[in-house]
Amino acid sequence: MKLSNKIIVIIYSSFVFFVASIYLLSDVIAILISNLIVFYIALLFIFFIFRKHDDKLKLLQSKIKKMQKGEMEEKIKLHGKDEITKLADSINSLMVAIKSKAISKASKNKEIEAAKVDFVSLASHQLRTPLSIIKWYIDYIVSGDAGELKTDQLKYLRETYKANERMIELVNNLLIVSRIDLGTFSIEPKMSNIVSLSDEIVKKFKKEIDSKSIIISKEYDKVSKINVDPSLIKLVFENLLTNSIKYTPDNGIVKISIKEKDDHVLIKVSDRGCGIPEEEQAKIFTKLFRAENVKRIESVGTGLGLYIVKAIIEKSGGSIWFESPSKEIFSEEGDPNLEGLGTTVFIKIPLKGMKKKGGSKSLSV
Amino acid sequence: MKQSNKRTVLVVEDQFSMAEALSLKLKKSYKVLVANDGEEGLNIGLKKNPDLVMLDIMMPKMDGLTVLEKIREDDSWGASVPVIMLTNISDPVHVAEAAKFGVFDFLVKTDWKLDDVVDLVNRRVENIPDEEEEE
Repeated sequence: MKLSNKIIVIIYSSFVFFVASIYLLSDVIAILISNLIVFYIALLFIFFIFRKHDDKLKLLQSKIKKMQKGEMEEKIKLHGKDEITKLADSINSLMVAIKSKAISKASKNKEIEAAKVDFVSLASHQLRTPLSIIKWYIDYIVSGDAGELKTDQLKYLRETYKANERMIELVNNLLIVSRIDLGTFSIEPKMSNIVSLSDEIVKKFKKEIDSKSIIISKEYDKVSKINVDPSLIKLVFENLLTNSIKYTPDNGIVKISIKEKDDHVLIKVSDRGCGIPEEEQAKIFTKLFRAENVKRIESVGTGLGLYIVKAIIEKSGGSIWFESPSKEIFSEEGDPNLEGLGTTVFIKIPLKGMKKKGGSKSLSV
Repeated sequence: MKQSNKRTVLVVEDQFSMAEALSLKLKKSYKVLVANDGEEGLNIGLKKNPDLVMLDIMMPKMDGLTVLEKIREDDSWGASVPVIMLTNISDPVHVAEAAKFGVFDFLVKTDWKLDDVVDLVNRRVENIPDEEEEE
């Protein structure tokens, strides 16, 4: 029943009581009593009507609050033909409209993400194919199978080969970064020895280390095996050692320290390079960033290595920071002239290891 | 019955120059057959029964993993022929798919020197038992 109809009923019934009381009791008391009764009955009516409306309004209010939090699963269930019930019906229709819009937006976002992943896969294939053709043909010619080469020709081909290798490295790094940014990479933890992984990468860079007569100073403690993705940890060491070897001058020292401390393994990689200028230190983990001083020393570099390292470490529950100038390397060489030089990168990996993460791609490209 | 003493290697690769570079190197020790798409590769494989197959993944007409699946369906030759996947896609999904068919040599072309690829072929071929011994 509508509110207006109820009020009419109340007024009509009070009038009936009023007339009846005059007819039955002709004195003033009778009129007063009857009026009082009518008044209380009306008051009771009004109280019940408002309480019912108040309950409905409270229910509406709580549902609207839930909607604000994004909870739109449950419909508002009100019965009756009053205005509040009609308002609840309108809110229900609005919820259905918002939900269908949200679903279509989510599926659109999903489509965009899938297109990005496909693009990265396709781009990596298309970019790597010509690079591998160049690599193999140079391999074939340099081996002498296609005929003897003059010394100069051999030298030019080797330079071309090196440039091609740098291009392969760039494509691989871009692929890794895309997988990090898209979140499509997987983490497959296995019980691994961090020291062995470090040594494996040092061995991989033997040629570069020897060509600059760099001394690798190792300070390894006995550390527990931890549950990490070995391919990711190797990628971390690869990037850190690439930088250290590249920027440490001939006959310099690169120090690798691995220690177990409390609830984590602490890795320190220190070099005797040119250090990171103070004003640029805040940007060092940014994608594509290369400090001005290193650009002058080595024009080739992608500026992706430390971004990749930081992403791997942080996404697997660890932390990374650096110190430049490096106190580590200064104390190692004990030469006061080295003050102001070098960088130490610190990495903390929790002993509890990495959490497994499903993903369609591996970061080791 | 083989025509010569040389073992036969089938290279299934849609990039002509890639297949050319590889077969130039392999020809010194092997009889090399080349197919430029998956379908052609499967047909040549089933007809000529090479001793080893090198398979690219992304190819027209039929992709390498489908070729591998169909090769393995052939009981007489395909079920046991050694296969080396040679690709520029290194998704774990593809690696796992190849492993399902007993293929664990999954080479990313940009990471492998030509000589190292040939060395691997040599090692895999050495492990193939002699036909006469089998009889």
